Amino acid sequence: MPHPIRAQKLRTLESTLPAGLPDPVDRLAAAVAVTDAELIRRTAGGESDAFAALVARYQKRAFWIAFHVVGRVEDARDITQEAFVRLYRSLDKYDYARSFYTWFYRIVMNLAIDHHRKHRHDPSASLEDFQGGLPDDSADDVQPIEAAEQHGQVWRVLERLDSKFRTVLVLRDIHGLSCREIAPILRITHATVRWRLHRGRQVFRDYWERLTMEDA
Amino acid sequence: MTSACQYCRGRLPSFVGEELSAAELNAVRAHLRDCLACRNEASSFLRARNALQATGAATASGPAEPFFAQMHADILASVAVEPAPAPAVGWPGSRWSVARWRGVRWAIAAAAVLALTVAVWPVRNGLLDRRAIPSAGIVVSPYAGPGAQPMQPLGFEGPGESRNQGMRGRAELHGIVDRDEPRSPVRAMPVGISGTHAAQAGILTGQRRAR
Repeated sequence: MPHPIRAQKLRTLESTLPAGLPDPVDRLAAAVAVTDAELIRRTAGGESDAFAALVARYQKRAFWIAFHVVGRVEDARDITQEAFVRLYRSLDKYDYARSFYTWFYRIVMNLAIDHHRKHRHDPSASLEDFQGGLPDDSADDVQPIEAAEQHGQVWRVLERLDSKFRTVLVLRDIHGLSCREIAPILRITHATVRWRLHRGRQVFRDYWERLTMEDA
Repeated sequence: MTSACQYCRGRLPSFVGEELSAAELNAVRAHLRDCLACRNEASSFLRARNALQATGAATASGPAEPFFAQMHADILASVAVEPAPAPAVGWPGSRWSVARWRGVRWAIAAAAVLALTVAVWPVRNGLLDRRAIPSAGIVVSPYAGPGAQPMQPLGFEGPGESRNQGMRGRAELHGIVDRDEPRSPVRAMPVGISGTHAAQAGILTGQRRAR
């Protein structure tokens, strides 16, 4: 009988892997025993499947984090791609004593924050950008209109938030990372994460209440 | 609003995020049971957080697998044109990457240059005043036990070369005080004669008598 934590980790890994990968890559990416550091070492040793497995493990998570910060599918896709290219270029700088995902998420977040700051007041940004561009193969499942409206409101509120509040809210409340995990990703202290969360939730709640009142 | 309300509302954002300590959580829960206004405030925070989480979950629930498969292929294609990454140095399992070794080498070189600069520069520029270094003959020690040397002020000459030991220094002090007064023919003395010698010669005593 597999260890419960290991079994849970395996399920998590399998659910994040994209479909249609070549067999060796799929097996390598799903192997819990093969750590991220081991994949990096193998990539540095010239094993291309190792990097493909690393991409398979993290591309969805990177994409969704980027998407929740920038709010557009195409931009999130570009950011994810650029993050992996940067990762590949700087593999020799990886510190094996530290966790890989912290390092990689930092690259993704930096790119996403830069993009968000540049395009925050982009007049071409609209609600359709946030909702319509989403890839969704569950076309038969028609979302209730109320839920769709609510999601639109949430995106509008998120768009108003300063990026320093938006990033911690995305990482903590949407992606479920702990404050201690968020701190090294954003290169801020644990106390700063707590403060930004506190203030960010207040600002988000205020905007949210105002928006729902106006719509009502 | 009572102080308990203030305490509770200050912690509501963390309360909805389940980030409070056990003691804080108990205090907030106890207050929420009794205070309707704070309960309403807590529900508005909860509604906002639930909406945020629902939106996050909704976006991530139905991604198209071909979309991610295509993205995977694109990423590998864009990486394929990049030069191969440098291998990690050291033995398998080593934490030391190439960049880290490079950093250590630079740090050692910088430390060596700094040490040389600190050691050589003051001497070359004459900033070290050798006269400020006390001579080896002077012993300044608070130790007063058997065999202790007497303490002498800095700049005082060593025991072997001293001209002003003991009470002889006092006589010389009188001579210096007297020199500050207006000169008189009586007090004129040849240059180089110290107060001690003057006293021995009876000049000073003669002056005092003259006053």
